Amino acid sequence: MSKTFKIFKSNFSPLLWIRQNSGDIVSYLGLVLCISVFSVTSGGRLWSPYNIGLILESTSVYAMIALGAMFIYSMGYMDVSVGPQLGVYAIIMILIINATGSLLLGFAVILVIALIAGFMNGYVAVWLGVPSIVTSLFLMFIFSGVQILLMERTGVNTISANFNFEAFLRPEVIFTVLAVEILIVGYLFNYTKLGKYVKAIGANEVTASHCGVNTTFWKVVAYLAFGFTVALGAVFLLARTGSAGKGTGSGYAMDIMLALILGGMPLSGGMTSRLRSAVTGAFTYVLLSNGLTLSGVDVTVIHMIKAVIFVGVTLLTCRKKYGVLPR
Amino acid sequence: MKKGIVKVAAILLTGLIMAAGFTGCSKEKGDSASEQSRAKHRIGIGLYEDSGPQVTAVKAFLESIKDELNLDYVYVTLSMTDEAVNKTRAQEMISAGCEGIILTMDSATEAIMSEAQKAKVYVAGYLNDYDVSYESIKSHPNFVGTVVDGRYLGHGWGKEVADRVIVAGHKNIGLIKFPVWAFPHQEEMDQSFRGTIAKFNETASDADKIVLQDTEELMFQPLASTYFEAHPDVDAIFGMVNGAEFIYPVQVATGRTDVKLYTAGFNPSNDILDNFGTAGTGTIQELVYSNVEAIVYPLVMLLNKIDGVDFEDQPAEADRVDSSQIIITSDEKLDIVREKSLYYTGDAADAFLDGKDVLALLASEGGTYKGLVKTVQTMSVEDLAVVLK
Repeated sequence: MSKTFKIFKSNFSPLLWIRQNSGDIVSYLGLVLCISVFSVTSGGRLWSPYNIGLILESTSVYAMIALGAMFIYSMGYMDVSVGPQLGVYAIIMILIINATGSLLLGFAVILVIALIAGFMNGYVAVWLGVPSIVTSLFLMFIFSGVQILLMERTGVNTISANFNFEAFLRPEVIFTVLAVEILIVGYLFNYTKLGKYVKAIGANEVTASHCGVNTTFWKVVAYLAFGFTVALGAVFLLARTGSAGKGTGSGYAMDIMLALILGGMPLSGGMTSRLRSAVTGAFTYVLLSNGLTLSGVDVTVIHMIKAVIFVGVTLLTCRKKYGVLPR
Repeated sequence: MKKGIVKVAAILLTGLIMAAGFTGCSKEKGDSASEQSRAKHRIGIGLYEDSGPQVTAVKAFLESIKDELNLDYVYVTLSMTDEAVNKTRAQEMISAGCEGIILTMDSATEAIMSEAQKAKVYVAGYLNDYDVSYESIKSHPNFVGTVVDGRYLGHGWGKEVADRVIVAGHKNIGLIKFPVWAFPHQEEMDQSFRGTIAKFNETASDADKIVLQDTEELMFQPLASTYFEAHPDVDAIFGMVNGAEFIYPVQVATGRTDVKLYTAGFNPSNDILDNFGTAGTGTIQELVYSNVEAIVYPLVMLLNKIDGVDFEDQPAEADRVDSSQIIITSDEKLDIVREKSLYYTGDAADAFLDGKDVLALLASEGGTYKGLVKTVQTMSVEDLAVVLK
């Protein structure tokens, strides 16, 4: 037995390890339980190739955006404008694709808008001295208004893109994009100043600032990173249906938050934030809906079951002394 | 810490055991497949809301005919705004083994049709005019048709309400509708109403002429509380929207229940029905709703495709057919609805059709397309009255 291992063994406490990793344990336990229970109650349909493809397709948008949202939630912040942003980006992409035939141009345009929105979320909040959620509320109203105006100008309820998105829905493409994003975000989150500082801001912003962290700068960078993932998510959201309308994206802010909660993400942010919350949470969130439907559970009780699980996980993962809700 | 872990497991298990429990609850009492001559089929039903009197009535009706047709159902709730959610719900129904899907929303339709084709599943519409997508999907091999919420074109009802308003002697009328981009056929109602009133005004004396206010567009919000301040002289409103939800509460709140309301929609609550016709304040003079039983159109069309038996008079392309509506314009008609309408009672025994009737509509049982269309167009309040006799 090596000396290092002996030292490790003498210092290792299972209880301490469990305490330090309780969020992860909850999220993995939830995912494993979902898979186990629904494998039985769905009569095996959960594992059909069609359903696995469906889960991957449905999870992709949530996971892509949730990965970027990790930077925001780690600071203990949240962004409620993500839903209307997605709707506006999808509509703009359709308009550009139908006018020019270029998806790349559409993506470039929405990326610029997303980065501007990210900058506003991060910088303006500090500049005005208001909580970030206030600027994200402001952006939510702006984007909601733009979404309605754009749709009213089209004169119809839904518009479709003259573009074949089949390639974006192939499992290998979704898997590859998601894997690359996980690698990039994982590197940024775990091995760069960005990741360390956003977690430090979430743990204690004043202390982080006193330690020399330029909190304003890193907040803006975090929101810019999130903006990029929202733009990426908008492409895959549009690819799913090829269409968009007045309500596209509605509810996504809440969906992303719920996915992160299910993934064991503490809403108060901080040093215990883990990147895997985004991926396990997105899968668990989709699996819940999918599994309950496949199991034949009545739609009227699905909300109740989800509520029990959400409340339980939230109470178990929050840091109670700092409160539950993000700032 | 051990207590914490136990709590984790307990909460997660509680939720999931609830799921398993409810799964058990949702299974049918007895699988009578062996007793049936028909093979068992599973149909997905995507409704636009998860509860309410219409949902209750739809489920009661479908459950009442499932043994005769040897069916079971998977119900999902569609999103009124999010295309991606609707595609996911359709995919989940396919995953759950549904061979046919009935949808109440024209949302993500082309993506859903593409999924249906890949999975060899058929799709039909219920109370859904597929206004955006119909032209592009009517020839799709997996689309079998749709039954509309009432009449596809709005001219007819607009003229009928105008005729009733003239007979009632109203002199100043407000019109309320949703935006044309969301509900294009309300524009037809508006125009035919105005045309009929204009024709009346041509021959009417000055004292009898009817004044029409500009049409108010609601952005899916209740009527503004200032409406009656801006239009103090209106004595009647033609509400092309669901007036019980969007107009009547504002009338009550602003003390203008003296203004008569002719409106689409139906709400079986006592507050609405106790002020209908000559009862109570007599505010509401007309209510309209589509029959729950019209769901037999998409159901029969799906089952024919699944059985591989078409009608002899099957249309070449998937059809979009009107359904008859329950139009309540008098106390007597409301009494009939209260006594015998499935929508009001939620009791499948009050349905126009039972399992044997629906079975007889199938092509494999000798049914015809003409007969199916006639069935969904013979469900008016007058037909209810005949049933009562």
